[in-house]
Amino acid sequence: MGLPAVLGVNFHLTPGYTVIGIVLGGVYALAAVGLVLIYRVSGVLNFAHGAVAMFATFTAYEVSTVKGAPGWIGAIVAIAVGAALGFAIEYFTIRPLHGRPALVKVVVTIGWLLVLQTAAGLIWGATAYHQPVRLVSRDGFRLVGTDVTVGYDQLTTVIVALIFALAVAALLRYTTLGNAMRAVADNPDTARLWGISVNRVTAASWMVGSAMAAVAGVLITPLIAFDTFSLTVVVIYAFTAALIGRLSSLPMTVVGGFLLGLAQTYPRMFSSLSGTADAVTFALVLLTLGVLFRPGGRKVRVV
Amino acid sequence: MSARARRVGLLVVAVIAIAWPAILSDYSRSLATDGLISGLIVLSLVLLTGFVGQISFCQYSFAAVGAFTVGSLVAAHHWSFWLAMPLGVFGAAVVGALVGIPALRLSGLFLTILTVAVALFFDRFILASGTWDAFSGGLSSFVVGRPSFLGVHLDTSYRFYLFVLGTFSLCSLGVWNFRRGKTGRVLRAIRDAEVAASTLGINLTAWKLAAFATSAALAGLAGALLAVSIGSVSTGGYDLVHSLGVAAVATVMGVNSVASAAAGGLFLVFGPEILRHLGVSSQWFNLITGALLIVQLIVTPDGMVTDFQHKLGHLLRHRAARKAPVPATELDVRDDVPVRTGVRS
Amino acid sequence: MGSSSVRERIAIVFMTLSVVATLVLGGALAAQLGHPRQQVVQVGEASATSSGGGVSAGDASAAAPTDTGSATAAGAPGDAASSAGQAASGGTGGTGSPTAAGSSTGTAAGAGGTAAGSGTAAGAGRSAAGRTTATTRAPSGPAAAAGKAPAPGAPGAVGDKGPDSPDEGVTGDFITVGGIFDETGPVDATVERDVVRSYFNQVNAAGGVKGRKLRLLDCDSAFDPSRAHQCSQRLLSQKIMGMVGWTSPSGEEPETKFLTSQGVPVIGGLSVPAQFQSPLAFPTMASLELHGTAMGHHAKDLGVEAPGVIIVNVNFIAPLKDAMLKALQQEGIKPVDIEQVDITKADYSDIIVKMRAAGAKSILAGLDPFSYARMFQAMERQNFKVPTLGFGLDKKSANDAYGSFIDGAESLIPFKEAFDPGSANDPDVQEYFGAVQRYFPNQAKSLDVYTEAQWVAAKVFVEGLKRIPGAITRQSLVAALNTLKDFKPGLIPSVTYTPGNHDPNHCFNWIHNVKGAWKTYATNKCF
Repeated sequence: MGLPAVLGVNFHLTPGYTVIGIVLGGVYALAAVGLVLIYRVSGVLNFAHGAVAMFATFTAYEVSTVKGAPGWIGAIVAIAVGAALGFAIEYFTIRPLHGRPALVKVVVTIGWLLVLQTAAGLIWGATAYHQPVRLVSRDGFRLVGTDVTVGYDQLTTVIVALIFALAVAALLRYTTLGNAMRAVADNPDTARLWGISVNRVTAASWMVGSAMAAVAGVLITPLIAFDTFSLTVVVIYAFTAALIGRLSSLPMTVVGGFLLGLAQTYPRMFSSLSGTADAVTFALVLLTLGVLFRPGGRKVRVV
Repeated sequence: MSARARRVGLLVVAVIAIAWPAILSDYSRSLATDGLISGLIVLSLVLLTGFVGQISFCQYSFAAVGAFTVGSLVAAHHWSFWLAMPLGVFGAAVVGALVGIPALRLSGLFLTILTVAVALFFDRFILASGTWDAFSGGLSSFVVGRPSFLGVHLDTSYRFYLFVLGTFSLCSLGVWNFRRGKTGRVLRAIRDAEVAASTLGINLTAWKLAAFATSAALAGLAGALLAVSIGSVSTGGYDLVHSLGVAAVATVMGVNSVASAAAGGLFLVFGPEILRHLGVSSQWFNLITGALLIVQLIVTPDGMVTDFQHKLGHLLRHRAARKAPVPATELDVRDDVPVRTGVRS
Repeated sequence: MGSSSVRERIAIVFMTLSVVATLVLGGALAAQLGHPRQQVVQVGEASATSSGGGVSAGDASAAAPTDTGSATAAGAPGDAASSAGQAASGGTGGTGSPTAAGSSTGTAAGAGGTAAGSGTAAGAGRSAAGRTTATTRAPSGPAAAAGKAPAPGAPGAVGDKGPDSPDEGVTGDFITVGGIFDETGPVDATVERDVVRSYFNQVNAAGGVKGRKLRLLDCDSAFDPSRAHQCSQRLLSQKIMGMVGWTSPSGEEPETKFLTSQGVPVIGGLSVPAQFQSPLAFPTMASLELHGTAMGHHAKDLGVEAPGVIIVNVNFIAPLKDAMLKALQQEGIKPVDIEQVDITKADYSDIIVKMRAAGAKSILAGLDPFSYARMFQAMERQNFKVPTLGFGLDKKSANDAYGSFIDGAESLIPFKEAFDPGSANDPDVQEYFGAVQRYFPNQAKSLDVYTEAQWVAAKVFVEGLKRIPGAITRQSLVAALNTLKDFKPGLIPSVTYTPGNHDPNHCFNWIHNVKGAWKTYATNKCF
């Protein structure tokens, strides 16, 4: 099959596909929010973000599905585990690398990715089918004007993503901790001069970011496959979403997520190939990097 | 390390590498062969990181270019391996240069994202069925037989192992020579001081692109050899996950020393094997690699092999110095300058 | 930030330990590799992997009736040999792969324990919570082995044992075969492995074949074709007689070619094209191409109109797709849309919406079980209830994830549908379920069409062994298998092999799902 099988113009799919794309984008946005917070404050691209989310979600699974506790208790456990993991990663393995280039810290998170994924596989089984923790019902409602049904769980993902983004934006702007985070993000040495405990602020950002990852994991897993590697793949797309949002602000990240979701969904209107979403994602990445780093343009601050 | 010690060491290693597999089983030889092929990919990372200071997470995509070129040309069009392989290597180099173009402007972290995107793009789009079936084989795999080298058919595991060993050694030697040579040292120096480099009149762009192209070419060569080693080429073995794994091991071993190529490759292959012999699930291998990666970056930041070489070197130098003071003749450029890429530390 | 001298010291210690460890392990490995010893492993090794979970309750090495007993556990107590391990080394990317690191299979705690096995070691051996390595089996009582033989299959003739051929996996105590399975990764084939082991355990409990016990060495290919190749080589080095009941979607096609070129017979498998192209390959399931043809023609019977076709992007589905499209064309049915998906595709809403918009009134699908789950979930969410025909839909554990839209779905199977409540009294089905329940109860609900194929493969293999008149070798096995005519292993009407390429299974049963249960409503549809 060398050419897409359906080259017909399917524009009438547009409204439905827009909805689907936004829902998908909500998943990416939710996954990206914590990631961007961590990146902005500590300068580290946390490759293990998805793995942390996955591991936390598995603990929710253990508590709720295996041991029978109600779903929301599982979610709380997941948040705690996520925050603890975030703290552990920052305190034990990022902080000792102070002064080293950012790339080294990124590679450390890759190490964590391997550790967490394998550990989850060993504890809970790498391929067994796991029933995901469902916090929200799968019933849905049909959107007027399209023929697409949106589930409440899907809608929740989008709403929570928006809430998180706004909450973090508010945190950064209006609270002391937030101000401290922004100061650290701008210039840690200056921040230190102002009496801000850079270590504590950084640790806080990791904890909050990872807690958000845990929430993302619990909400997203019913929508995708619940296993040890799917969330990591989602997070890589979340990077891209963050990139499209120019890594600059949380609301922009959410917008970037939606854009990516749409960009991955629309091509299906014209093509039946399985890889079109990735081709578009790649093109978007190139485009974004090109725009961000265009010669003569204002170089984006790395933080 | 002194030149003499190094030569003795190399000789010992060479003898072991040639003689020992002769008495091992077929299976062990094939493992060793695959280890060396993985080592080639680690070598490609040593080259890239050593010169450009960037870590790439898409080396297996370049390997895929080499492997699928060989696969499609040999299996479907009945070319000779010796024609298909150089074409594959060249193709990989071209792709590497293409990836290098945006890399010229990107700093470390963003280049990382780019290489991840390349890896995903390659595996999930280019190699997916329907996109370019003539190249990727679509839903079936290409079957490739062993070639003959100078009249000797490489079908036995020992012969093929020796061939791969020879190839690997040549490439290692080439990379090492280049690093030691004047151009190499200069390039390493400019890695950290690009302004100085441009005042020296070095065409940075050309060198960086060349580094990407050569690194990709090495990976492409590894891919071509892999095609022949396994005997078939199918999608599924060249994805992001493999690239991440090899980058992790390369970092653990140390991207600044050529010896880590062999060490890394063998580690990748024999690590799980050793675990199996100990009766431990070989899933633990990933865990161990991840943990090693973390620990190593904190404790021995230059990589285990590089650090080891240095310590050994110091040891030998001290002993030598005590025997007779020898004026330092070789300009000993430190090759463990940390990779400094982003602004943020 | 610790003081740098402390860090220096830690670094030196760390490196020294690494070097020492490497040397020691390397030396040990070297000794091993130079002379791969015949691993003496107890039958029914535990598996430490995933879902199958459960420790295999291998039957204890029952005192073989003729054997001078327990030369099995023979070995030294220290003989904890792994073996049953898999090679997942994959020089190419052994690491990195998050899921794919080969899992292991446990070591069989060699433990000296001799003899005194009991036929029901099953109960004894089972330990709680899977994932540990083999337990030592409770040596319960005297060799009551014979007493509990459940298998109707007769044990090997006591007297006529025949000579050994250790290079081909036949020793005084064991006949060893191998299997490559995608045990970790997106696909979980541990159930196929355990089904073969169930049958072997059953046969061993009844005394084995020709005075020897059967054992299956498995290797995890982790959905990576290069690992699959490593597995082939590893299994070869472990001296196997052939492959029985293997299931490795990632690498079965090229490895079939490789193994048969090495003279190794291959029995069972996924019915990839290569298995119909070699006289050494003995498939037990209809070819995938035939499945496609059957689906296309069955669509006509079902009155399928305007189908949307969804196919997963894995390398052995290709012949199915082309054959199905051709059959549809012959029947005058034109698909409104043909979509291809990746095995990791998470949400099928876009496909379903597109199908609906294209006017699809039915769905024809060729996916793996968990992709089906996501497809049905999307169908349910979008309320797109149309007749659905899919190949390989009857995996019970996945059915739980399909939701309510599985009701009414159609499928086809070239075997007797074991989950059909109407088959409950069929003795062959009872034997099949019984063995799995006894030895690997955790796998009982993961059975599907592929496991039936491998069960038949195991049976066919044992029958072939029994028919060998003299020395057991690969050649004599192949010759014996070629004498199978109208052999009835159960689950399939009959199997006939003749010299040359083999293609024994051409007929299907149509099944459909009625409120969660699969029912057969037509049999013997042959193509």
